[in-house]
Amino acid sequence: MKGATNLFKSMRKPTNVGNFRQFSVNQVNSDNKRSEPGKKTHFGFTDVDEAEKEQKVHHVFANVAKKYDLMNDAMSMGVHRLWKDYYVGGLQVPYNAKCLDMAGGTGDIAFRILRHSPTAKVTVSDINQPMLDVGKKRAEKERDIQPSRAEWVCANAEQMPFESNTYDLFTMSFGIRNCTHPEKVVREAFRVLKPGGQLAILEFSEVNSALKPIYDAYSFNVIPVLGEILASDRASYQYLVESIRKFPNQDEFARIIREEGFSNVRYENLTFGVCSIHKGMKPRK
Amino acid sequence: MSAQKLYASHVPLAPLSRMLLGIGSAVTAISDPKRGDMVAAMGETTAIGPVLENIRKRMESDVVGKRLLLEKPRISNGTIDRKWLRQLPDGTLGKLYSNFLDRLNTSPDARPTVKYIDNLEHLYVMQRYRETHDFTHIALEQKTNMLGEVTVKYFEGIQYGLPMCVTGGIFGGARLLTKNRQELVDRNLPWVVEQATNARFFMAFDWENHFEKQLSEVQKELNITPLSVNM
Repeated sequence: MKGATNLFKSMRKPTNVGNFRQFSVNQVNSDNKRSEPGKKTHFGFTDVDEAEKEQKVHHVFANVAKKYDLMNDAMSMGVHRLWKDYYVGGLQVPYNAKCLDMAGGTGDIAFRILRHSPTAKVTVSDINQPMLDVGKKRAEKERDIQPSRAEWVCANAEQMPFESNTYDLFTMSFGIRNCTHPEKVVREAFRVLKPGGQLAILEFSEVNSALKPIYDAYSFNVIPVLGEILASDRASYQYLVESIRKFPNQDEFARIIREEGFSNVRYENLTFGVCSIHKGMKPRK
Repeated sequence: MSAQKLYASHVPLAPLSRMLLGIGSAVTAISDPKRGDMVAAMGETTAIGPVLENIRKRMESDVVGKRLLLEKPRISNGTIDRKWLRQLPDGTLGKLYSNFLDRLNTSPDARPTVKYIDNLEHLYVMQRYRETHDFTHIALEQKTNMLGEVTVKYFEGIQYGLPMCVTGGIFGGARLLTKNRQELVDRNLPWVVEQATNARFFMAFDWENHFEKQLSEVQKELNITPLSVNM
């Protein structure tokens, strides 16, 4: 036999597609990023260098971009549409508002805002160009909106290329948990908002403890398999369910928002805490 | 994830996940056979313990099969020398394999690695099945069109008992057009049933040691009578 390769030999040098398939057992407490000088962070349940996380997140979303909307429907059984409807419905969008929708990717929130307010203009920004491309294509087909009222900008939420005191409304839906430093994102949001401007963040959060077992079972057993079947990508959806658990819970996140200078900070749980809407206002001078 | 990873590409699945994947992959594989990963996943989730254990036992009771189980040789880009195969004489197993790969513009590594098998012994059986499927095609002289694939699936279903092969044969056969279906039922099936029951156990065969032999010689060793010889 020509140089037989033992199956077990491959175990010693695992060839992983992307390091995040190896899950480390010891989870470094990287929740309080202020106390650590900031070398390591989490990527789902894996610990990665901070520089790496951005790259890995990019890879996840570049992969899922085309099937993103389909997977959202499948995983939440369509409920994500209700969450987003409620989220946007509860926004105060002033006349001729300038809105910034961060991690806006495929445009779900932007289109809702445009429909909600005929005079608003939305800057849809995302660190991931493929996601924006999907959004731009959708804009042409969406009903009751004018694509010209949306602009699509590729940018990093932690370092936004936007002028200070520009926006009336800052929205971010299911994006902030992917950022390496959520507090930096909140800080930037504070900067680009006008005094009196609104912050509204929709994100997965800590579910009611009574439901935790079912929620966990569903998250870890069903969602990655769904990802494998529908998008040929179990790993990205494994990352998704893990990243949810690593993100600060409702009260912790509210504290972070307050610490960045926002006033009138409150949150509202949706679906027993599966996700939560955090709101705040930039104080008027 | 609860269970331990037993090998590099291992993805341990909880029972609920396994069931879901089994159903989902079966539906996807039937509706979109081009999804090779789903066909592979279906094969693995339906290859339950008793089936693989049966194959393993049969391999163990064969002298060559026993050696295969011990040494666990792989058919991969690393172990197969395409250049050497290409310069072999026409009609040899190796040359035919080389043509096969070239024609399909593929390589041994193009097959998905086994992920969902939780038992190390069964892991090799499944991996070996996947890697030698092409040789089964060549030995039976079946093309990779729908008719040929179904014929090979019937052969594997009878010899190995893998649920994927059995259902693949039945459902694949049902999808054939009238002319091919006729040919399957009248010609291919009776022939392949006879071959499967009388031939050597293909899984216990060390294909890689026979590349230099003429196909007819290999078929004799396997106790296969080609279809074209029959009426």
